[in-house]
Amino acid sequence: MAATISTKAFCKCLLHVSKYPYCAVNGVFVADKKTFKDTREVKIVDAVPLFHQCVGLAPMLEIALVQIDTFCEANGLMIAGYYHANEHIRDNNPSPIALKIADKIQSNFSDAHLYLINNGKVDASCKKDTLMVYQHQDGKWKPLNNANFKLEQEDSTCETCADLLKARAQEDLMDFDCHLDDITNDWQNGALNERLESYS
Amino acid sequence: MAELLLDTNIRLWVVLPIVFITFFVGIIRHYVSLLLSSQKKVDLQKVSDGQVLLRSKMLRENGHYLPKKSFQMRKHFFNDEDSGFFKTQKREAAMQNPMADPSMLTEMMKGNLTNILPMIVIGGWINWTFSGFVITKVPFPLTLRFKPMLQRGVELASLDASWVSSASWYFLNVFGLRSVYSLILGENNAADQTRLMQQQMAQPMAMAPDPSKAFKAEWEALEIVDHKWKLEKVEDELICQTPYQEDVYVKNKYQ
Amino acid sequence: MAATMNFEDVRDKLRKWREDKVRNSVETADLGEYLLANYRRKLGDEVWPLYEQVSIAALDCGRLSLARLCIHAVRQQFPHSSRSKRLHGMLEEAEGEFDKARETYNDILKDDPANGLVMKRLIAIHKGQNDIPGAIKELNKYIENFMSDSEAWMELAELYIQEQHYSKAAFCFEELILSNPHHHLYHQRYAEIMYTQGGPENLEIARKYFAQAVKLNSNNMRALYGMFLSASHLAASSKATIKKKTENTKYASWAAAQIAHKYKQAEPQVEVVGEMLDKLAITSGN
Repeated sequence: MAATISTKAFCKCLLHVSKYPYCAVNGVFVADKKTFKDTREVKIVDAVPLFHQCVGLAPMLEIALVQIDTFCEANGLMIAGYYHANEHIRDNNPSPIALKIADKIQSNFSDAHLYLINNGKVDASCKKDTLMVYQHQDGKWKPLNNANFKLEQEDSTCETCADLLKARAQEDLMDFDCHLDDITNDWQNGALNERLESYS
Repeated sequence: MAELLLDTNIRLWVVLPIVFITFFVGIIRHYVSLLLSSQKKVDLQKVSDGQVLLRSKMLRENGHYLPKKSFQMRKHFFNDEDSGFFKTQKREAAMQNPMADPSMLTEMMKGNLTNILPMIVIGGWINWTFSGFVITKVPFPLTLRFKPMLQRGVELASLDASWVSSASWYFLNVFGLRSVYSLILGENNAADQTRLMQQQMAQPMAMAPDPSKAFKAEWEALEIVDHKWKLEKVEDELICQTPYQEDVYVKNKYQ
Repeated sequence: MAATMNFEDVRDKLRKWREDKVRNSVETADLGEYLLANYRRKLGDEVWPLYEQVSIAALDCGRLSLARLCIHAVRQQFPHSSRSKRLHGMLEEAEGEFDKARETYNDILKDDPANGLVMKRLIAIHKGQNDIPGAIKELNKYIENFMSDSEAWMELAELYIQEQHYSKAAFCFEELILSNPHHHLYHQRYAEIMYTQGGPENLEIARKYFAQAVKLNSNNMRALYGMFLSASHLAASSKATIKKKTENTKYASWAAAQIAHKYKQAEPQVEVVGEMLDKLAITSGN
């Protein structure tokens, strides 16, 4: 089993993709450290949207990863996955840039997986198969069967996601690019997190 | 100089009609030129040459912001003796003689028809109709040399040059109504005579350069540019310019 | 939302977006649809540029029926205009009929060979088919004729970054800097590309251009972070001379102080920033 993805993480990831449908976007998934230590299970609790501009450039990625790392250490979390959505709607193969970044993340956490968004399946009724998961094997990223990861509460997650998309909640989502444009924008998305809590 | 008293009928029947005539002729001119205007065919080569010259100009002016290697690379692209753009691209001289080029001739004729001709015709008619008296006084003093120009038809040696006749009032209107036209017809309207005149003055300059002359001039200008990187000491300049914020306000400085 | 705003406000808002070329297609399509449905007569001649604006916004959102409506209206009014034909070509692109679109555009170019906008649509077709190398080739051909088109250089740079040809992307950004040397974003992006390329020479250039970006706009966080990163990397490099080390440490600490100050002003999470900057300084040594 690759991972269990919480409602919060899944929704934030898809809101990020929906906010910038004409760009390539990426972000990281963070998982609970204690759960992994105790049960070797990767329980992804949150998603941190990263960039929608110039996804292929290094310096801001370094800054973002270090900030997220610092945040994770303070909150008992760890970077456990990387999600990427390609610019082209029918491009469902991970780009070289996505693979490179995934390599970097995997080098810090060997059980990290790459999640590629299936652009064609992003719509008001997002299901689990909107994400395609890849695992690092023998120096390459190989696609895994969908059954290898699960959503925490599949039906309610999809419903929450659909509600948020209908209410255009993606306009309130702030990724790291938004934070760099104006540092008062909260890349942790505290307000959105609270809104998501109210759904559960 | 004695003050002249003008009949108020002059204001009613001369000053105002001239204003209205000029205004409406301008509007009519605008619409007529719209009807007569033809789509200008743009030549790709000309556009491309213009852009090349612009790029070279940018390189000359702003090349100091690039690293030396990048600047040299571009200078080489344009100016190299064997493979440079300005050396290898040959262009034919542009058609200088307007008579030989039929489309340019038609353009010129149309331009003249819609702009110069009405002005001459109406100016002449106004001069003939309202001749023999002065219309108004301009609020600033003028020298005697303006008299023959502005007081056509009124041959009075002792009349102050500030008194002007109808023809000069007409010309004043032609120039003055420009802003009214832009209010009503929007910017870039064909009723704007002064802009046309500016264009006509600029045309001899634009038509003449033969692209190869322009290339040669640009080559020379680029050749003499010496690269001096403006970013050599930028960090030190930056640090000196912006102090640490704590230094800006010093608490209890004078205690 | 549109129903609560009055006609003038909606029309002015759309006019401003049209002039500033803002891309918020969802709102544009909604508001435009409302105006066109209820105030067509009142708009007068402005209805035509509005049709164009709404059709492009509708194509962007995937609202093809709305787009078809608008484009049909424009084509009826201006059947021979290359501008309306271009819109029709864009509709064909959106429907996925790239060959038809290509034909439409080539037709327009036959009559007007210097039509830059149509040439750009041909490049967009390559992008639409996910043929990035093809798009790059076409764009290079376009740039040979239109060497001073900043939009084209920007697009070419992004395509090169996608293909990870960083030196070529850097070349494009140099052109942009030449066209407007006082735009901080060009310097900052150029520096990011140099940083991504790596190597001590490129890091020095990156640091300089980040500094220039900060000089032009002291609120550019990316440039401040970039300056800090590149200076830290250079200071920590094993091949650095003592002089370079001191210089770079000075620059890095200056940048760090500026970043910390900006965060202090914006929000009281200084602890996170301080820790993070220390961490960055450590990791730059790797």
